[in-house]
Amino acid sequence: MSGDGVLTAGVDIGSTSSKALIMRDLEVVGSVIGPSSVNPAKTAETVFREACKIASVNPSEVAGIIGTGYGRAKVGFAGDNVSEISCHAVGAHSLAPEARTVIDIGGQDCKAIALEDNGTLKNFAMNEKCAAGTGRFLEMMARVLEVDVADLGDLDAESSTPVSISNVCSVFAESEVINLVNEGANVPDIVRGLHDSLTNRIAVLVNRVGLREEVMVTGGVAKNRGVIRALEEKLGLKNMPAPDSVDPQIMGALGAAIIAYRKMAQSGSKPARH
Amino acid sequence: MAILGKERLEVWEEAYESILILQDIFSEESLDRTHAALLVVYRDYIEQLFEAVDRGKKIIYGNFAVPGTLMRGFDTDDVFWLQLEALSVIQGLVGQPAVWNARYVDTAEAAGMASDICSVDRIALGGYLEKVLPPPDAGFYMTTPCDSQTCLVNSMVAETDAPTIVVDMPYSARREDVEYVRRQYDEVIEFLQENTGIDYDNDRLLSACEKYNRMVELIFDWVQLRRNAPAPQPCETLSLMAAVVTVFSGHDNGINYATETLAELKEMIDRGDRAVDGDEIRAIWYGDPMWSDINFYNWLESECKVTVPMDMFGYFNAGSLIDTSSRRSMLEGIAYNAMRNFPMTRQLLGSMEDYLSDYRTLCLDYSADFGVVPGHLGCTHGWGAVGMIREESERLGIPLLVFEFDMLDPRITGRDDLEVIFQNFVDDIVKPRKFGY
Amino acid sequence: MSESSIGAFRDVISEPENTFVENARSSGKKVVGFFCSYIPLELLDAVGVLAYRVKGLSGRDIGSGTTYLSSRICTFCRNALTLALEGDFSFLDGLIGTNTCDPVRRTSQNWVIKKPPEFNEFIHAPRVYRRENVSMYAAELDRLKTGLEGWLGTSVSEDSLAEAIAKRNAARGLLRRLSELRSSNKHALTGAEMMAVSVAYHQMPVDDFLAAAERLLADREALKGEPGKARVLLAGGMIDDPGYVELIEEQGLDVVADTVCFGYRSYRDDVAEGEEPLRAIAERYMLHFPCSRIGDAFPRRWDETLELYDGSGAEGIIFQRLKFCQLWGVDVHNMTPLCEERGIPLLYLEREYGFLSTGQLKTRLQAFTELIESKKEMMA
Repeated sequence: MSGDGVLTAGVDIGSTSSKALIMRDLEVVGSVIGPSSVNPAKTAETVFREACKIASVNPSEVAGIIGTGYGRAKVGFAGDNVSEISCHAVGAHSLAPEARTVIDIGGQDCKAIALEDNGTLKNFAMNEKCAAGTGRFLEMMARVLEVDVADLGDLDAESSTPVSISNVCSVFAESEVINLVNEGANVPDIVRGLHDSLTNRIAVLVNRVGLREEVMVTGGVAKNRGVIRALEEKLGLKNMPAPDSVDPQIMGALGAAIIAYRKMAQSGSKPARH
Repeated sequence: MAILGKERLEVWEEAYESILILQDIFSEESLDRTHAALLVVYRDYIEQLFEAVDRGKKIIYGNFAVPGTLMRGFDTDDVFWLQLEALSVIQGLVGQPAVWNARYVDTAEAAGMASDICSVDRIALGGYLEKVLPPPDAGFYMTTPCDSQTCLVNSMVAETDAPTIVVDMPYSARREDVEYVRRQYDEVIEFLQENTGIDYDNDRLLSACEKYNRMVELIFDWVQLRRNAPAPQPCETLSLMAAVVTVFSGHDNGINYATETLAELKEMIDRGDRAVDGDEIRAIWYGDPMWSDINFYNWLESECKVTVPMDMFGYFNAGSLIDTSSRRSMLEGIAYNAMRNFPMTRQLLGSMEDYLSDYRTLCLDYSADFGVVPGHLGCTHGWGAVGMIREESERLGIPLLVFEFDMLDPRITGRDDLEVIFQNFVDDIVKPRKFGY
Repeated sequence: MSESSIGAFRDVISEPENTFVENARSSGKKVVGFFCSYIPLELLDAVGVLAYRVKGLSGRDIGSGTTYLSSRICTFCRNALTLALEGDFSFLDGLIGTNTCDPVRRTSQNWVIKKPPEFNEFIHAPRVYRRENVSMYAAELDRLKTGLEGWLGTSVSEDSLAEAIAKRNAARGLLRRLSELRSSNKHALTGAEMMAVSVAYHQMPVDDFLAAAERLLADREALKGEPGKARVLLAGGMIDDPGYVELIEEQGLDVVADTVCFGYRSYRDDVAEGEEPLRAIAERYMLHFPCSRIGDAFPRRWDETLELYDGSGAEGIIFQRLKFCQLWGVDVHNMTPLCEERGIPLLYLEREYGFLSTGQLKTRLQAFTELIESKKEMMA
């Protein structure tokens, strides 16, 4: 027996990473971020069990589970599945009720979500066709520059004269970066230019749904403070960071776990057994 | 820098300042008559625009294909005809990087305008949304030369509350088609009179038509003389003929520009000037010009040794002059010219044969070594004919370069890539055929 | 041939050379292809040919079409041209090209050069919504009529035109009744089924359509089905794929109305009877629920869309367009602030012709359903 209270979980199966988060009475008790695989059903099982271990709960005690993300339909043990758009919205709103725009920058896609004052969905726009504006873009460029993706934020801060990257397409931008390196441009300046380029694409998406304060950036790329810097400059707004206890990458799973709780409260139905 | 003594929006002041600086430069190089005349035209347009704003004239919006000659029937003391695309064209050409054009693209896209619509139209809309244009009292547009322009018209009809009339441009140019457009022009005049309260004056129309004819006679000579080989006059300003004609047909500025560029061409021929140093290679640029980076043409001539003796935007076939005997014949003449002489409408709005026949004529009459289809991304009727023009080029025995770019947005295909595309094509395909190496 | 009354329509559109085309050919009747809701079916009926609106085939490789049109042209055009070049449309004896839009114009032009049918004509349909321009269109239709008559060695009387008008009006009347059934709370006809019916309408003889539509109505009028989670109106550009609508409806959204050209826009308006027939036809076809190809008609299209939206009890709009379809790209731009003002949830989807990227679609559709549901909860 792991303690009193209703346990719910959110399982977010993305194309690059998979996340699971456990809550007890809407308090986060454990979460995990792991890589996705070609077998989303298996990945779902794995991350869920991992998260339960970290939370010191028995998987069978989790009363409500919601699946989300690209592979949400494959979270077979979930009671239901909800789009990652709704989940990010709910997650962000729970941490910051003043949030009205959520920008989720994932590994392979990017979403701009507009919220009503009560946190429900107002509008959304997504891009998953093209790497520009996603973590994939930064991965490609980090490889070319022979730096770690995790270091990009620090490198951005070292830049004095950012280089402008003119190509909108990632493939061509890559060649452009190679040229810049060969011409002796310094890495921090290139990195800053890349962050600016990334946010230009994101800004178009955001403006489509209408930018309203406060803004919260979620997704793995939100951990890159260089991107946050560039976004704040581009949008003319300060980003509201998620509280330190919550990894921005886990926002979807958080929202899913909250939705699981709400659905149970609404229907008063028997919880799903794992 | 103030315009007509007042502070204006940054985009306009920057353009105006650049024009004045360039005018200083070109006044010293007194041989460059074309550039000097062009700058006069641009400066005058901006000054006329702000005079109209300051004096509260009625503003009538129109798109690229709207015939200036027709609009001159309204007294310019009372009415200013604003061509939506003019600012974007000026932006690309006065030596500044096309920062404003890129910004307006983003503005239009943020407002939901699809990115596959031609950038000319996204920029025009973006500029309007950013309020860099005085608001319209009325609108008169034409559904030509293309879908994208119809998109712009659609968005203007939706955005502005101004009473608007749209003229339908037919597919062919038969007698009944000319008559159809003439009838619509009559309706336009009536509509605009009603909605602006300004009377249309047939004497002004007559004067404008006479000026149009004088301009066209000069252009006709210029178009012919540009066949000269080796090419005497550089190609940087070639495509701008279309920009000048659309805004200033029926106006002294149009005549002056044509006069100056023709005179310059003649002088260059007399002096034996050459656009290209050394063995020249001649290309027909059959499509939208490089207005995102007009210096590219200079690179073409100096580094690639390629000159463009004629292109789609400069090719005013100018085969018909306006019969000034009556209002009816004048409107018919304007209609006919809108259909048969206006670049893009002439080649692209109608049949496949319309598109191919000018290409054929230009390649042959201008002794082309190769053809270029500048694949402006939003130009769907150009792209939709790419297979046929390839076959036509093969039949003619002329190599064809097709490439992707954007005529106003420099971010799509960068200058470096463009240079590589052209240099490779010229080195690998054209030179061996022409020079045997 | 399917037994079920809806199956009859699905069969018609399952492949280009359907049974009616086969029948026409074996009986010596000519089949004439066209592209656009601005081309009058009545004229083709009266002249005695089988009218056949061109559509493509899902899942087909579109390499040959792309060679001539390039990849900057929408996938519908490339698909249709591919089929033409590869002989799938060899059963078409004639083709009527129109200036529907630049890509369709180019498609028909490439087609008649590379694979010339026995008969072809190009019609200019005006791109303005003005009564003053109808006479031009009537003249074009007259020219088409003359061309068809010359080709077929026949003559079209005013009576035969009047008869064709009456029949097509009857057919449109049935389509409207079916459309109302789809919009009603009975859920007796799905949006996907309605699309199959209205697409088939464009590829079968009107008499056969009348019979099949009556049968379907009889079958469904007494039915009661299950409602979905939310009601939506499908707007946007060219679409002829019931499978797309099915995917939307599988996510729990009922497509209760549409404003697409293979759908409602092709049957809302009738041709006036008892007037000079060719003129009446020209007027109806020029001034029907306008397409985005018309330069000055957005305000009207918006008003009429709103009317339909309110009338059908829709709760949101799904606006779809093919990538590279410029004319419908501006329409969604125009609609967006208006939908926001009116509090109408709007989902904008880009698509490619001939295949569905189901994963991406499902995410958006699910999120849109959730959005509408939470809006309804808020208002409750």
